[in-house]
Amino acid sequence: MSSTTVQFLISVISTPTCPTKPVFLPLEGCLQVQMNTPITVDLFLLNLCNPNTINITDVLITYRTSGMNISTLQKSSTNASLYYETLTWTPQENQLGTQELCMTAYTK
Amino acid sequence: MINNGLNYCFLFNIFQVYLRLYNSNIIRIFAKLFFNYFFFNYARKKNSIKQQIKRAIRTATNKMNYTVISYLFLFSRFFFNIDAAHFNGGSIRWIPVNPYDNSSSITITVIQSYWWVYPTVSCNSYVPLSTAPSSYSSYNLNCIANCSTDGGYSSSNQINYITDCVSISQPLGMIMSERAVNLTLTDGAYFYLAFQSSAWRTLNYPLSTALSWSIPVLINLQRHSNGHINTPPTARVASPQFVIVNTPVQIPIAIEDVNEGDDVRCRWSQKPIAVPVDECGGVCFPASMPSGTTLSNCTLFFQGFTVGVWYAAAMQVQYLTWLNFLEQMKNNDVFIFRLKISLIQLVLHQ
Repeated sequence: MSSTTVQFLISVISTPTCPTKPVFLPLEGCLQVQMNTPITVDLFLLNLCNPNTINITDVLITYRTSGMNISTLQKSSTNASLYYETLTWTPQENQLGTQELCMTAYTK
Repeated sequence: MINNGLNYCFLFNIFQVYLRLYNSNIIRIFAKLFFNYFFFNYARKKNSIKQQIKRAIRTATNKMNYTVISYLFLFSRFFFNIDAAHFNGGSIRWIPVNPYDNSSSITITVIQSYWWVYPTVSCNSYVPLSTAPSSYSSYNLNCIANCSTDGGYSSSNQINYITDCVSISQPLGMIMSERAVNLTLTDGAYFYLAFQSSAWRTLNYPLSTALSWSIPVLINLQRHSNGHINTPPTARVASPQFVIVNTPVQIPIAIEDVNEGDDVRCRWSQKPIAVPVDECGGVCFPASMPSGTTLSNCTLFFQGFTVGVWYAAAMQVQYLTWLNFLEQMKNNDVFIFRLKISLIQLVLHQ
């Protein structure tokens, strides 16, 4: 028998001006990385609302493999709707196999 | 068959009521006995002046202690801001370092991750002690149940709940802290560890402040039928979840389970006697959720009716096994279960 406790928060908010969710692009599926070799990947996000009124305010990391470092949210200098975070990671020997990173983006 | 099932449930409820009545009668008899005993004792000693003086002194000291304690309590709340609402939830999980290990001592990795209110709790190493070292009395994760089979945890190998800040969100006003530590226990250990303290951020509608939290974890190093150590399932859900007022939403709890063929289920966290340990502290269902909230197939069906209100959802992810069902049946339930069996036998005989 095993049992895991999950406790999380739910916040009730008013109807947003733009309820369209931002998207992560185009990083889907699986990236192949090599053991003991540092990697640097930019993770891009696109704001689908009018960038003059609604912005991506933050990205929360909900799950990460140990050793993964993610920079703070940066805004693209050329496209007002485009944001990115930089992931740096050196995969270790005991991390062979599939590893995961989960993020949630918030607009306001 | 369905009708049978319903009747079964009905019987269950009736017997539970009977049992409660029976228990309260016993308590009443005991109370009477105690009262009589103390009353006669008191009457016998009434005349002794010495006793009277002693009693007076004792009452005075008790009162004094009480005042000192309440002052200390007031001061501690005043000085250490962290006693204010600062907890945003979290989880404790563990994985065996090597599930195929045959030796008599097993090493597991215990991973604690918590969310805190920022800037009440600052983003440093040694969260939450780095913010307010004095407000927590003991730093260890305590054994709260089945401690006789703790595999040597309480006597030698205790771990603490101190974690390190790994991410911060100023817009959302929260930080996340995490730490993974190895723990070596003897083979076959089976016990509950928990991080219990207060207080949650202000929750619910009407608002409740200073609710306590309880995050238990069952460490089970009893071997699976295949001889391996079972890795518990892990659940992933982002916190906080923002939901739009008056709009029904479905929040799926993503489950990861490394053992093939396990029947993984979700249920609301509960308090004893229903379960062996306090699984939810001050945030137990249904009081912790708006009315109409349901949990089905590891998906939460939720609708909020007031803007600006926060709720804490507390649930358990576990394998469904017959043994696990039996384990949860304590005192009352076992009695009811026996009654049910004898009833069934009676019906069969007739």
